[in-house]
Amino acid sequence: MKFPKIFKLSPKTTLLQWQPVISEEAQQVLQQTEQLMLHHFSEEISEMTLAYNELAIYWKTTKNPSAFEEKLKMLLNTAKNAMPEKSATLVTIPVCYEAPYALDLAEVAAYHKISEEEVVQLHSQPLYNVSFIGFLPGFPYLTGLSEKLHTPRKETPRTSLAKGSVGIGGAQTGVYPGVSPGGWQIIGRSPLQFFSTERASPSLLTAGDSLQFQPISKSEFEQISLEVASGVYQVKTEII
Amino acid sequence: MIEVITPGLYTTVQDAGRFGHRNVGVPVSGAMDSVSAKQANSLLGNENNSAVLESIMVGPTLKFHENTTIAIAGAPFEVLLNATEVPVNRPVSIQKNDVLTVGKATRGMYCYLAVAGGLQTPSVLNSRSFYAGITQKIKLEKGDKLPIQRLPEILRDETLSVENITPEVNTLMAYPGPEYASLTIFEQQGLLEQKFTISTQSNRMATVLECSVKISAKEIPTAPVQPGTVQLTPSGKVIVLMRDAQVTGGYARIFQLTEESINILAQKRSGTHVTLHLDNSLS
Repeated sequence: MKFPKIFKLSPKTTLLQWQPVISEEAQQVLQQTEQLMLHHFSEEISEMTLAYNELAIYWKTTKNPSAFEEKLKMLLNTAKNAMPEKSATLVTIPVCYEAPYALDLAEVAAYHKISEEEVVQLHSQPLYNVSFIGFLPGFPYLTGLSEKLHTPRKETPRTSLAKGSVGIGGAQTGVYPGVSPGGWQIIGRSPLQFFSTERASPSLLTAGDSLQFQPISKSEFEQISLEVASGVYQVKTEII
Repeated sequence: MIEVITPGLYTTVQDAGRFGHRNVGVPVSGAMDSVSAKQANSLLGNENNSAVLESIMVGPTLKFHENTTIAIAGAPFEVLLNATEVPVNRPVSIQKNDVLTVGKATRGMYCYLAVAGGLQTPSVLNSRSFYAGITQKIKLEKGDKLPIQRLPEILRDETLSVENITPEVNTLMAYPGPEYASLTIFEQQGLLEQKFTISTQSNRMATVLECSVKISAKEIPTAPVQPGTVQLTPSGKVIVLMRDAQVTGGYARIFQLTEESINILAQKRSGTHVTLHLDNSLS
């Protein structure tokens, strides 16, 4: 992993840019760099955002740390030899892949000439990595979708998708955290609350989490929905 | 408390913005013309980030249920207090039962109404700025009741006044964006010589600039964006992200407007022309 390019975008914004490759390794380097920044420049940084190969640093003032580039180089060089073992939170996301939630499951199955059961199996088997949260509050960008499920977006986007809709758009898969227009192929729905300003950490998922989809029946969906609404549902998480 | 008699075209509560939650996809929001909002607040001695009412083109009619002081700044609007014209850019005393009508903008887009002590609508994730999915309200509606602070009567200097400070210029200053260097010199020149027209498709999320030359850019892997980022799409659209912009985007980021230029652009009506001027002071 090469040293990132430092791009000064505005008096209060610095971008750290790595090679444009989308990989789990790249994500790990970005997330670790974010932790390093947080640790060493917490006084100067207002906030940061991650994406596939860039880390944006939003400074509190226009007076950035002096000799920032040298300090960063030193930190990254030291850290390279002592990168901690990867540990992540695995979050299990229950998904009902049945009617009336699986709006496009048949279409996706037909596109790939496989059965609907195979689509569900291929989608719920992998461990996904949450690369970052963007687009909408709580919207996870995931890596790990099986190539066998890469499916073009719908020609005409829907004007309104239900909260928790699980979809595939090209090589990406994800969950719509709130009601939103969207062009992805919808193959199921999760009863979980992905974003809530009432919680101490509003987003259910954060960059660096691992995620697995767990198929549930319609009656389980209804049961979990009730438990989520009454605040008793415990999201299944474990450290891996 | 302030009662909303008529809500206006699209009136919202805004402060200096919602910071610290972009990593979970929450936009910054805040006043479109941040300088005018600050000015309205400073006339009352409020904190810079106090919540104000942002009106666009046609403002609300409000009934005050307690005494307070207000100040209006930003684009010039026709403002009446109990059917009498009222000055802007200075503090104005309000008595219980007064009715304030923020009418039409005579020029520009946005004006800001500050109230002594700041509006006290609910703060969500450290900001009172309205945003769908974050705050319960998205815009003012008839019958809304906006809480304000009951402050001890202080005599404000009502002769205190300021000039409108968002300049009436048509040149926007822009830093080169991360994808600027991947444009050809001809494309760069073409953009910098271009007289853009502000499109009607503009809102708090983005302002679209119509461009007469055909320049386009490939999509990029989703990357960080912020208010003021100027995007160029594969179909040749130029989009300037504004205060309610998403935190990440997949279009080429060719420029980044200066904070002052974001405020200037916010006040431009559709049909006006603007040009971009490169600011190389950062490189």
